[in-house]
Amino acid sequence: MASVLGRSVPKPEKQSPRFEDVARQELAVLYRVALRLTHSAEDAEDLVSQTLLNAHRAWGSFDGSYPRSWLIKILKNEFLTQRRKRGSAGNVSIDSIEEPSDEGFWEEVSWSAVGENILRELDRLPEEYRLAVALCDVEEMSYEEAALSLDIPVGTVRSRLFRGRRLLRARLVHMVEDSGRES
Amino acid sequence: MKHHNEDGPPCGHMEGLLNQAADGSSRGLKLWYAINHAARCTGCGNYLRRLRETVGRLHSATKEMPPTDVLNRLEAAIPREEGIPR
Repeated sequence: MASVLGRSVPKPEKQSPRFEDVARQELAVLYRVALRLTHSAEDAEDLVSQTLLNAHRAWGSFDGSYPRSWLIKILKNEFLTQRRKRGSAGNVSIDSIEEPSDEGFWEEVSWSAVGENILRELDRLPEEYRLAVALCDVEEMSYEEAALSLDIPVGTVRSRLFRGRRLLRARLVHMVEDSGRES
Repeated sequence: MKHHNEDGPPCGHMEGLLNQAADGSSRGLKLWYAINHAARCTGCGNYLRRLRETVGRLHSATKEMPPTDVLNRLEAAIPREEGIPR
């Protein structure tokens, strides 16, 4: 109770958001991130549906901050659980991939070609880098929000993002070089 | 100021600062230092320009909405239960 001029007045209650409103607002982002993870529209839809169920169960313990990060974290955990059950292979290391020279790269390639291919090349990045780039550059989340989503330190987000960008650019350079050889 | 990478990759200590300058996450002194360095160092200047182009393309190329039928099914899949405390 707050006191105004000696009289007690009821403090206005802060309205808690409803789960369905929060979920509806994040559906498109969840679907895009699911697509980045699964590479399949059908699997992405299933993954988002299961994420919504899991999130609904956990809604009571959610503290209300960064709902997008919270939902993406649940989505990622569900994806990992499904993959473990299926026994799928893990990531490919990028340590052995060299970054080629890209002198004149952006002058050679047309923007429309990059627009069409950048998503495909993004989807070919190893998962940890793909997710960092997808969250920070595609969904424009802050490093802190991405760190919450991925459950890793902010510094790790930075290093994965920077390497992911470097690798993405390298792959676009390869793409341009390959198309130049073919024509 | 001496720079070692006039035409090659960015100076080793600059990659993080240039990335943060490219995506707009740095402010103040860090941003000023990155921009100032890139203006004087050919390698870092090229690197920053390419990074901005890459990040800019990612921002603009990939904001597509799910197909309407998918969105409708996902909306229908949202559990609706009143009175769940948070």
